Amino acid sequence: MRGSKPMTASALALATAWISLAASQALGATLTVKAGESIQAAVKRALPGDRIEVEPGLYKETVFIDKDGIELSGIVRGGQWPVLDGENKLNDGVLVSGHGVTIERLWVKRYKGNGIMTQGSNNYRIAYNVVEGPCFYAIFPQFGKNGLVTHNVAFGSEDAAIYVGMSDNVDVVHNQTYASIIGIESENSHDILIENNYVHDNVVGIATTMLPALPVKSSDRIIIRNNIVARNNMKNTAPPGAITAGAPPGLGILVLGTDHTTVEGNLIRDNDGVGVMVSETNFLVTTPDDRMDPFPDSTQVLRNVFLNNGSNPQGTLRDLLDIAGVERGVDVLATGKGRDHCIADRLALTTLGTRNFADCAPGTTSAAVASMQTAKPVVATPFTADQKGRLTYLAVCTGCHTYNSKLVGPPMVVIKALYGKDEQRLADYIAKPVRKRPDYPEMPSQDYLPEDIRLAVARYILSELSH
Amino acid sequence: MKPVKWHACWRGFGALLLALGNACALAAGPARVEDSAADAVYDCPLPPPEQFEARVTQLSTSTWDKNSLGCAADLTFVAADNAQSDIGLQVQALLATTAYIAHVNLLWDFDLYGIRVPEWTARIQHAIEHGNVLDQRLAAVPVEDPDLLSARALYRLTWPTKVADAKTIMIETRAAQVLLEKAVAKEPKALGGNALWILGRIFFDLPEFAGGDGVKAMKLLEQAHAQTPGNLSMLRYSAYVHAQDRNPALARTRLTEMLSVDPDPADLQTAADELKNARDLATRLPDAALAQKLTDRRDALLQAQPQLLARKPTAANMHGGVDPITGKEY
Repeated sequence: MRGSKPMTASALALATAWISLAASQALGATLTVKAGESIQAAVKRALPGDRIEVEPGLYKETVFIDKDGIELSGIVRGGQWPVLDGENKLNDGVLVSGHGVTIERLWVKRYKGNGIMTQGSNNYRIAYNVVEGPCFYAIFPQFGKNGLVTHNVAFGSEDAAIYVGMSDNVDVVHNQTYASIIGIESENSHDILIENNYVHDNVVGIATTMLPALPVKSSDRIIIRNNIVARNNMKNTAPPGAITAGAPPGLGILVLGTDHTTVEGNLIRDNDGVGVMVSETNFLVTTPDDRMDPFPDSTQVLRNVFLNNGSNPQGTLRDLLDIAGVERGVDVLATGKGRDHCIADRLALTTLGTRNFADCAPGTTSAAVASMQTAKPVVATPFTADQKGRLTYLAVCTGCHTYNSKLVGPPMVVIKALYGKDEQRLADYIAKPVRKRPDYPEMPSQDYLPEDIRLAVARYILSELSH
Repeated sequence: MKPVKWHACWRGFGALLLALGNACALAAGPARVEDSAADAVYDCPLPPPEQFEARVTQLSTSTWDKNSLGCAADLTFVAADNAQSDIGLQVQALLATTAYIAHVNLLWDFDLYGIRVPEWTARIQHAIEHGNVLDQRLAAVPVEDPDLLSARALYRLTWPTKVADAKTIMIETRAAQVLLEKAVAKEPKALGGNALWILGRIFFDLPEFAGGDGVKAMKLLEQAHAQTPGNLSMLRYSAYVHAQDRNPALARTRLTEMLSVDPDPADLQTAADELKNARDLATRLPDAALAQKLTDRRDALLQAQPQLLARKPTAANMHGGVDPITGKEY
């Protein structure tokens, strides 16, 4: 995280983006993709540092970028966008594993898994896109450092619309999210700024979460600031048993197990259950994981505007309020045993369970933090073939397959038995699948993955994957 | 042992499965959830009377196997049903039912995206049918026996965990608290020494506005430690609470004590699970040397008993599996 002199986050972000743009333009060539052509073909031709401009038109494909410094930039002309359409058949819209990549001005819709996903990418920028569901995650940077997610519109996610997973130093600013289970989520991440977003009409508006059974075991230093968090009262339609099935409707902001979370300057209104909830992880997710501390510490609920929250609590929130003998929802609800919390403006708020919240010291503010991005791009080490195999398996394959259960496709244990050690045959099948079983849908071709990646995935599945 | 009415029990289960399977499939949509309700059916033949107790013992100590635990619960329920005046048998059946539900709850916990929810739900609902009957029978018993009270408390803590709403869970937890307080007042070592620490856990877990009390929890856990120091679950949970209380030295002491406790042969899975949890907690403290000792101990147990579950969450929906960067488990 960097402090700064008075300079707004957006100004800094723009400056960072401009520097990034200028650097890449100085280094790379520009390739143009016209309607009817393949974006992926252009990615294959591109060299690191190149810019790919996509003309308005309809593109029914998955775009996979594993080269560094690629700038994939849509051209919007006369209101016409370049549209990537998964037609509810393809899993991913844009998948990125290269570093220093920009994805901007694309309309991405109807991908079953992820609209735009970066995996292991550092120094990325996802900006000015529209990502439309139904999908699992609309925008999902995972395992990356130093990123900017700005000016996107994301809606219709079965999970989080913008989901920053196991990442560090990311700004999520100036976005609009709605009609999703969670509008914006930071999961097991550090140094995250969620600012100036309009988050409305989801089940839960903004969530910072510390979830179990993931490789990153802490979540720290998150600022939720100057957002409009309104009317997050959508019915929860997540599949029963899914983690998000426990997300309580009517909740503006959820702080679940994360440390040093600051909630400041937000307009939090018309959420039917509770404005801000601070809770331990295992209140909602009970998977044992003693490597992580499930209790939120050092939450600061600073000055925000709370307006008309809690008028009609439902489900879990209603249950909690009933237990406490409280009729109406509250502005701030705490269930956990974390420590060192503080709350400002206490007398102006309705609260429950905040006995261990101190009064924040006068003048406490996060204003000194203009951005969580690093001052310089972080060093980006190239991934090994094994890492690429595991990352791609996680990003691509687990949307439809699990090890020993039938999901969309057959269990991996069956695939391992079918292919033995024949990595090449599996890699070939991944590129050109044919329907083999009547009880499963046809697998979409993953021929956008380069040969070496397909082989790495096949090697991982056949040689390493176990349970 | 009297003859049992096995067929009535089996028919009821089948009908329940059908209803639940359909409901879950409709609610979940066409993808992301396996239509697994049929896997909730297990073979559970009724043994001859002379082999009944041995069979139940063998099944109930197979604590790694959902079907064995389910069958143990079913058989003890049938036996209890045929001897309704035998309070001890009712208690035994309720504990077996509770153990089965707890086992399925944990399987569900590691199924992060609920892929097999139809199976888990069907199994739990089936067990609850029996559990509720047994609980009601025991509630009507005029004698306040500590084991009876504790068994009822444990059931009420366990059954709602995955299948009831938050309000029901809280109400049942509070009811369990009252039952356990009565039990430990009569016999502090009730439920094989587990009642006291479970009561402490209730006070620690409940939010303050629902009766939670961290100080009281700590006191109860220390009492439990003084009374039954060789209880792996109590030691691990105490260590967890001390870690939360920012007392890593005491947490480390409790975890170290676990190293000298022999696993209960009647519940090896719990031993393996608690050693895993303890290793994870030691890693967090951090105490790498202690974590390694706990790992070694668990590895030795798993090697000697390869049927025990290793509790690895399967990767699904872009989460879980090994760390893609290091390739290691975590």
